[in-house]
Amino acid sequence: MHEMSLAISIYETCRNAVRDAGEGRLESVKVAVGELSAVEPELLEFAWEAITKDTEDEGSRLEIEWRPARQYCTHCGHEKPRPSDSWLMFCPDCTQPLRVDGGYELDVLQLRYLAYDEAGGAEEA
Amino acid sequence: MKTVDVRKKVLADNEAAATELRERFGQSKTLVLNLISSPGSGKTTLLEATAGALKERFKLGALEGDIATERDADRLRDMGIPARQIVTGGACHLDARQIRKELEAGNFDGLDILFIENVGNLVCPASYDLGEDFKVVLLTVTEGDD
Repeated sequence: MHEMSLAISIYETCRNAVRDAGEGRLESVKVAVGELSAVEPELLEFAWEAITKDTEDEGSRLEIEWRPARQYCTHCGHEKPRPSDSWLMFCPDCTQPLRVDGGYELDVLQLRYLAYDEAGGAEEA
Repeated sequence: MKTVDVRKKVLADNEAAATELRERFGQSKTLVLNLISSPGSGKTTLLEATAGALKERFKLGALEGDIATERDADRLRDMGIPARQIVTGGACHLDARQIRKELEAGNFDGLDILFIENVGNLVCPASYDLGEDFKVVLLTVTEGDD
């Protein structure tokens, strides 16, 4: 999907949060990316590097927490495991339909930043 | 080093706009359909046929999304349906905030049915709620059966 515009959204959310907290430089940002969100983690990382380059936040890390989609049998309620990068069309044990839980996450969870007053002589880039 | 718990969806702004739109459509009792397909599948053709069949009985309107052209909206306007073209200039999907802006600019009050023809793309539009009642997906035989 369009990882660049998503990275821009993440960056704006982080900059606003840091501004509200008293200003500083981003050190790391933790995001949850779901298996079904159509986001490629590697591309999101590249986009993050491109966006933060030549800003005060250059060098900050995007930490991506992968969230799997789990498939559950609608008949017995148990989770049906599957190899990664595959998808079950129906329950392998009883052929009943499956329901999906999770996998659509696309959330900014937490960020770490170095506050300017904490840094003492640290200057804005 | 300080930590901030953000806990915000990346697409939060779109979701907020979509919720607002859904409320507005509920109040005006407008049925909203979001048409999705690959480019060239026939969304506009389907829309023309549907509009032709319904326009005498219902007040219709259309918002057309496309990366570069105005052709889709022209086709519907030629039938007498109020239509606005949203030229995204590269964005691969329509966003609820764009829809909100277009509705404020155009004359789309009191519609019975609003058709939103999304940008030709089967991936990204699925993730962006536009405040619609239904997403309608158009698939063509020539795209294969898997």
